[in-house]
Order: sequence, then C-alpha cells, then structure tokens
Amino acid sequence: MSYQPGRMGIAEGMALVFIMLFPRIFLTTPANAIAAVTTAAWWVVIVSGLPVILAIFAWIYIFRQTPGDLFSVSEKLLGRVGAWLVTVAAIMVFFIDAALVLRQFAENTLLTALPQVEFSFIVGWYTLIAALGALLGLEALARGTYLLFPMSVMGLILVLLLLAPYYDVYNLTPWRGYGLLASLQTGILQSGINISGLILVIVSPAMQNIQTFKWASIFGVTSGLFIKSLTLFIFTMVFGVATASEKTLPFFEMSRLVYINRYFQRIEALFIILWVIGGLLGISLGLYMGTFLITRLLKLPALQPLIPLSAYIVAQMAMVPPDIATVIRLDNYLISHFYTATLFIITLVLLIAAFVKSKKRRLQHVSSYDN
Amino acid sequence: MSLRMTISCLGLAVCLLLSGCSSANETDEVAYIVAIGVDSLPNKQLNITYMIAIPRVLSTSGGSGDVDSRKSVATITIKAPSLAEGRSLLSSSIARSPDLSHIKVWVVGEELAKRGLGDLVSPIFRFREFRGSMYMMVVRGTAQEFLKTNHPSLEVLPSRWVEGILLSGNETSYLLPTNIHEFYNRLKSTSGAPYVVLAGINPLSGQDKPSAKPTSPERSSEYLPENIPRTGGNPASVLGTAVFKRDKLAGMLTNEETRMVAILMGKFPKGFLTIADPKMSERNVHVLLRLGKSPKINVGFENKRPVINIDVLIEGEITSIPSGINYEGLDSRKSLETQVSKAIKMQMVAMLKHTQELGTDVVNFGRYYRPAFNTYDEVASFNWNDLYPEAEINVQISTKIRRTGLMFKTMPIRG
Repeated sequence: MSYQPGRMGIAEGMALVFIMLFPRIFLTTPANAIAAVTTAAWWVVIVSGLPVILAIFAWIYIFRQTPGDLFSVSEKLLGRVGAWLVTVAAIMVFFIDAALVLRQFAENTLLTALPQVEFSFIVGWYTLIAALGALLGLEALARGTYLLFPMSVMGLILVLLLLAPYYDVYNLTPWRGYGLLASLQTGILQSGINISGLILVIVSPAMQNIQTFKWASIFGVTSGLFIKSLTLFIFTMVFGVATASEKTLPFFEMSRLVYINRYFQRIEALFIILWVIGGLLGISLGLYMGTFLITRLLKLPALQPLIPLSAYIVAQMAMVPPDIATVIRLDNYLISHFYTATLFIITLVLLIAAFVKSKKRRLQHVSSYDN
Repeated sequence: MSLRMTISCLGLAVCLLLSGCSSANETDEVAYIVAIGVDSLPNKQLNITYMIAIPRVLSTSGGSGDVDSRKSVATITIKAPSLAEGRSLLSSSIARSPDLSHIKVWVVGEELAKRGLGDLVSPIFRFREFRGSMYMMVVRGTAQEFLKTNHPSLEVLPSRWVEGILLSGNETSYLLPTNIHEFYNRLKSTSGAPYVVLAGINPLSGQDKPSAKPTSPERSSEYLPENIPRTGGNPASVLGTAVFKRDKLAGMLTNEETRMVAILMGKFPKGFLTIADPKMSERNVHVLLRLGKSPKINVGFENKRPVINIDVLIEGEITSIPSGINYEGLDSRKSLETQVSKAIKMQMVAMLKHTQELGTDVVNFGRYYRPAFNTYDEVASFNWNDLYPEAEINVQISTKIRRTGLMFKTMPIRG
C-alpha cells in the first residue's frame, strides 16, 4: 500500500498549511491575544510564527539527511520507540486541535445563527461533513482549499476595510504592550498555535520535492501570519484593548459593525457561511492527518475505514468540556503548553538526531576512505 | 468515485435543505421592533417602550396613497425589572415572537441616564440580537413620551426618521450620531468621556428659549433640542450632546458646543456660520465652513499639569454678504477670516471650559498622550479624566476663505 496520495505542488501545499492556520481567526483567539499582550498583539502574532518558520528550515535539513514522512524519519533517527512517541504526540495534537476547533465552531454556530438547534446535532452534523471531506482524500481537500483561499481572504480583507470609519490608530499605542520583553516571551510561548503549519512534514513524500515542501510551508505560514496580524491590527484599532478582550467572536463582531449606509449593512450572514466552510475544511484536514498517522503507526493497509471511527472519537472529545468558557481556557492552555512543547521538543530532538547521524556518516565515510 | 460523488452531493443537498428550517419563523410570526425606549422607575423597575413596525401598512402604502406615520408602528410600554423580562412580557400581548435585531435606536430617558447606564449596556453587548451599530440617544424627559410623540411628517417609519436625522447631522454638525459601539468603547476606555446624541420634545409654541445668548461676533443663539423656537413639524427634536462621567449623565452640550466638539474630533464635514459683518456690525455675513485638515492636537505636561495645544484650520465659502462690502477682495477677505477665527475660537474656548467644569473629556484629548507611554500598564494606571479639569488649553484657529460662491465680486446697490 502506498502512503503517498499524490504529487502536490506549491499552491496545494500552501493551501493546506493556510487552511490549518486560518480558522482560528474566526474563534476567540484574537480576543485572547489582545488580553495577553494588549496593544502588541498584532506583531506578537508574527513573533509566534518565527519558531515555526525556523522549524521548517530544521525539517528541510532533516529531510535532506533522512527523506520520508514524520513516522519514517523518526523511526530512522530515534528508533521504534522514539517514532512511536513522536507520532503519538502528533496524533494527539491533531485530534485535540480538531476536537477543540469543532467544539468552538459548533458553539459559535449556536450563538450566531441557529440558537435553538440541539448542540449535539450541530456537532454531529459538522463531524459528518468533516469526515466526508477526510474520506475524499488529501488532494481533494487541498484543491478545495485552494479554490476557497482567494475568496475567503478577499472576504476577510473586505470586512476589515469596511470598518475604516471606526479606525482609531491611538488604540494601537503604546505598541510595546506590557513591555517588549514580556510581549516577546508571550509570543514564543504561544508559538504552538502555529504548529499546524508543519502539516506538510506529515505528508512530505506527497510533495514533488524538498523545494516544494519548503516554499509551500513558508508561503502558507507567512500568509497565515499576515492575515492574522492584519486582523488583529484592525480589531485593536476598532475596539480598543478593553472592549476587544471581552469578545467571544471578534470577526463576527467586526462584520456586524459594518454600516456604510442604509443599503450596505448587516453583512455578517455572508461571513458566517465563509467561516463555517473554512472551519470545516480545517477540521477535516486535522482529522485526516491524525488518521493518517494512526495508519502509519499501526502499519494498517488502508486509511478510509478508520475515518468514521476517528470522526466519532473527535466528536465525543469535542463534547466533553461542559461549557464554552472551559473550552476557550483549555484551548489557550494547551496551545501555550502542550502544542508549544511538542513543536520545540520534537523538532529539536529530530534535528539533533539528524545532525549526529550525518556526522557519524561523514566520519564513517572518511574512515572507510582511509582504509 | 461515483460513490464519493453521490455521498458528497447528498450531504451538500441535505445541508442546504435543512439549514433554513431549524427554528425558522414566517415573517408574519415575527414582531419587528424598530426602537426601544428605556426609563427608570422606582424600586429598580424599568419602563420599557417598544416601537413595533406594522409591515402590512407599509406594503399597502404604495397603492393607496400616503401612510400616516402613526399607523405604521405600534407603541407598547411595559414595566419590568429587566430588558429580558420586558421582552418576555411583551409576548403576552402580541401574537408574534419579538425580534430585537432590527432595532434602529435605543432611546434612554434622562432620569435613567442620570442614575447610570452600566446595567443597561451590558446585556446589549452580550445578547446576539443586539449589535454595536444600533444608534443610541438620551432624551430630555422620558423615552416613552418621546417615542409616542415622534410623528415624522416626511417619513413613514419613525425609525427611518431616526436614521435619516442622525445621518443628516453631517449637514450642520449640530449633533454627533452615536452608536452603542462608540458609547461602550468610551465607557471602557482609559480616557475620553462617553457621549450620546441628545433628543427632546419641542412644544412647538414658537417661544425662543436659548440656553445661551450669542457671543459676538457669532449671531446664533445656542439651543437644546426642546428649546428651538419653531412651530409645526415633528415634535421630536434631535440636537446637542449628552455627556457622561463613567456611565452617569454629567451634563449636556448645546448645538454650538457640539459643533466645536465635532471640529476637534475631525468630524466636521460642513456647517453654516452667521457672524457680524466685520466692517458693518449691524449686518451679518454667512459663511459655509468645513475643516481644512484634521486638527493638530498636542498633549504634554508642564509641572504635572496637562497642557493641550490645539491648531485648527477652517476653510470657508462665503454664501451671503448683505452689506455689499467686497469681501471677495484680498484685504477685506483677511478681516473676514479673522472674524470667523475669532467667532470659532470663542465658541471653542467656552465649550472646553464647560467640559472641564463637567470633568468630561468629550473630545478625548487623553488619547493623544498615549504614544508617550512605554507600556499598557502605564496607560491603564494613568488617570487622565481626573487631570483634564486642570488642563491648560491653548486654542489656535486659522481660517481661509477659499470660495466665494457664484459671485466673485460684490457691486453696491445703487439708487
């Protein structure tokens, strides 16, 4: 059985990376960011992306030494036990992320559009759609995301521009937030929020070559960071720190505020559809990646039969927290602790292992030459 | 492949079909509330007045002639301890489900505004049916009275009248349209006093009761909404600004004071000014003013006292010279520009003095000092609102007459 679903190019790879980072713009993440670092939120987002970009370069080095996907590389560098630990950590990251994002999107749908629908119905329905997307496969998801990408970005930028009458640049001052060092520290601690930017590491053999992997990952992460930074920039200008930190749904609140004249107002209904589609694609991809890693780990012959079970597990995980406030706190906690630790530890350990291995190989090559 | 396609298409079709059915209501099952008035009552009760649109009347208005604005809405008042309870009790008298998401304006009575709006504004931002772009106004008297007597003669729906009058504030800058988002932001901000547009019920007696006499060279008196000397038309008037200290009503600004606030906030598109003719004081000159550029405002500290330096450029267009003096010429024009600058400066200084006495920084000068801080902690702990009453404010107004209307020269009247 081949674990290489296709030969993806830069555009598809970039779309995959972008759609993993994009949905969080529509959740409470911007409000949490402003609560954490106040006026520095818009540039701290970029700081939090730098470790991921460095990790991409680290993985390029690792792949040059040891080609393969995450599991095979870990197996070659760390042995079977090490590979299991790395892969299980990655599975947990994807599944927990999918579950928490699913739960937040379901709650947000109840809050904004369908307040009287049964909660488990929404979760079940979203899970079904996400599972359908995962069943269709990686290339279908990549190409669907690639089609959605320009429309979603243009729609978001349109909302941000239409809020121009409410801009107050003094809301961005002082730009250091709680202090330069404190802001940088928070940015590094929050870098786990972008861990999904390394999604192409999981399926790197599906890329055409290492250059494709490199540019797709970098473009995807930087475009995701740019959009997040722009959103936070405008959000801070429009609402100010105090009001912004209170919002459960920053983007929804921004789109609701748009009022140009009698004929151009109340446009938030259009954007509910946009963020639901973006969110479902992100959940679908997370589900696919987690399931893919399980099949690699257990050396299963096929991936598709596992998707309904994985989807069910993710849905049940999503329904465990008792309320939305717990979900938001849990999400924040996991980002700054579990995801960040996983990002740094896995990348560093594999980088060191790859470096040691390449040094050994060079020494062996030199000694065999001498002999 | 075909199985995948079938599943995908089925899923999409089901989503599309079912998405609109859940908790759906027909349009004739919903009561669209277009305005809410809130007044305070003893024992922590609220007097909540709902203005509900009658769509049936609007749909027949095109064929059968004019529709009286009295017949296009139904006004119901309910006493309740909270907005949520009021909404529930409202359902007992109307055979429809109330929908609050179409509210155009929140009208708050003066008494409730003086007690404080903190309890009123909080649920507005938490509940999904309310949005930040809803307008807000404080009315002199009761909101119930205002909504009941609001009978516009040119519009069918009173809510359309509200929207129109607030947007037409750009014609004069005698009122500053405020929505809940702006009010709430000011409540939570570290500087700047919350403000809301002021409304009132004019007795239509034609009696002239200005709040302040004109200060020469200005010719216009200053008014609050219920004191404008007029007869006829809608008794409801919107003019001036209600200013708040924290969430409590602290005072009111007249139309001229509101215009000065608008100039300093950079929200002054245009407005007419009537001043004494510089060379013939018994005659007037009318000038149409606009802001030449955004006002330059610097805030600093000297001996722990705030110093605010204001530099405003006004551009004018001469619209009337009854005296016939050739103010279009270079020399005379300078005297007119000086006269305009003097009038604006006096008004502005008077407005700033009034706001300092009230302890309310309506213009929000405090925000100009924010870049001087290093961290947000310093901003949060900086008590600008207590320092503002002691501030020394230096005002510099420059006027340039750019246009002279359809005449570039005035010839004398002979005979």
